[in-house]
Parts: sequence; structure tokens; C-alpha cells
Amino acid sequence: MRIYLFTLIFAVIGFVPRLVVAHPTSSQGTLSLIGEHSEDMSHYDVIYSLKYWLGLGARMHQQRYLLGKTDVALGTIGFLLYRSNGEEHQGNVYLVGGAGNAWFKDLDNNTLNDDFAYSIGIQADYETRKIYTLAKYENIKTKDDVISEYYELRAGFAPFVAGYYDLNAWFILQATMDRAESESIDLAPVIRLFYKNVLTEFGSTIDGNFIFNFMVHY
Amino acid sequence: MKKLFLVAALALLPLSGFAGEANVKVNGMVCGFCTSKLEKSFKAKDEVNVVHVDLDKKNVHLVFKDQKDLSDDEIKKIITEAGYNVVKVER
Repeated sequence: MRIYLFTLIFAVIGFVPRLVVAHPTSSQGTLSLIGEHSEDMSHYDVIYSLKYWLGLGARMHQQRYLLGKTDVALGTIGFLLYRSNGEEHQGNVYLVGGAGNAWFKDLDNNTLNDDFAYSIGIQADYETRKIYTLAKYENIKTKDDVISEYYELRAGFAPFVAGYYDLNAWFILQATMDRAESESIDLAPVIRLFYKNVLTEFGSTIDGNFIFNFMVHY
Repeated sequence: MKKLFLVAALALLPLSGFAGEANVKVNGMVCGFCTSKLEKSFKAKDEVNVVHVDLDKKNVHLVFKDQKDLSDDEIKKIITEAGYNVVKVER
């Protein structure tokens, strides 16, 4: 009950999790609530894992500009292309994609036009109980426009090795770039905390943009 | 008289509440957040009384309810569907 309340509170105030913390699929039967909120975009995902290698979901994405914004609604699919389960590690490669519609709006929320939109991406991660790495690329496009072209690299370490029933802490450095907006790379130190099925991350980019990520597996 | 006690003890043995256990060695369990669904899946089984996940030993320890059990194949199916690899099941 407390977890549901916690999720609701964060959803209401808009500090919802960012997709980058998430695996596009999870254990069979898992419902994942994930998303992103920052100064220039919002991003919400609901994913249900039919199999541990197949996740179906829905995404709402909003990209904000100086003179307007773009709203995108997509049906999404995540596919675990490869997994390596070792005694001391897990490595994954995922393909992600989606299809739906994009609405281009002015600052007064009037729709100027709309078009079919689609997304495609790839994500790879490798982690042990002490280190964590991730590389990701994903874009969202229409026939004529690139709404988002997102690159991300992450590397992190656990300052102490925590057990399953302990609070886990990680220090992560992430580098991100959305080429649809600019060619600049945003660096951000991030602290990740999780306990069982609840995960949160917080940090800040070097130029001061706050990062708050949150994810729950049901 | 001794024989009578022995026969009575044997007759009552099935009623004494035997609870079986299993230790499952699992590869890929490096993240507690990702493993939480595994614990939930076992807890949802009517046969399982206690689930204990040990990331240090890469082990899932199961204690079954009285007179109940999960077969090795059922245990392996749950873990495989969660995306992990079973190394061995020990009873």
C-alpha cells in the first residue's frame, strides 16, 4: 500500500522516473512504471513483461521548445536480444521500438499538425554486484521530423556490496546527448538507491539541471 | 510394548508436519531490484512457506508448507521465466 501511495505522490508532482534506469523487459508478469521529467521533456512508460524477453507497453512523450511542444503517444515493444547470466554478472542487449502519433503544438496548446511517429533503439548493459555500465541509443521520428535522438552512456560502482534485504547504494556517472536539441553532452553524477522492488535515482547535470528517476516493479 | 510404541510412532509420522526445503543455485542474480520478482513469484505459490534470497551465495532457499512441495521442474520453470539460469537444485 505504501508503495502505491509513494508512486502516486511522485506521479502527481511530476517527478516520475526516467527510462534510462529501466530494462525494457523484466521478469515474466512484471508491470513496470517508469518515466522521465526534466526541463525540456517529459516521458512516461508503462510496460508489462509477457515474457522475460518481451515487454509490451505504452509511452507518453512530450518535447518542449521555445516556441511550442510536441506530444507523442506510442505503443511500445521491448525485446531482449541477448542475455548472459554468470555467477558474478549479468549482461543484456535489448531492442526497443514503438509506433503511434505525434502532435505538434504551439505555446497555447493548439495543434498545428500531427503525423505518424515511430521510435527505435538499442540498449546494452552489464553489471556485477560492484560495477554497472550501460549504453543506449533511441530516437523518435516522424516522416519529416526528428523529435528525439538520444544517446546515453553510464558507468557506476557500489561503495559497499549490499544484500538482497539491504538498502543498495550506487554512484553513477552518466553522459547524455539529444542530437535533436543540440550536440552538447550533459554529464551528471547520480546516486542510485534501491530496496527490493523500489528504485530511485537523484543527481544533477554539471550545469545544474536536477535529475530524479524512480521505478517500481509490481 | 516396545513394538506397539514403534508402530504408533510410524503411524503418526505422516501427521507430524514434515516441511521440506530446497536450495537453488542461480546464475545472474546480481541485482536485488531485478531479483525482487523472483521472490514474489515463489511467495505466490501455495506450496511455499518461506523464500530467502541470498545474493552472496547466489542462492534461493525455499521452505515448503507442511505436506507440500514444488518439483525441481516447477522451481526451474519459475526461475527461468524470471530470466535467470538454474545451476542446481539441492534438497
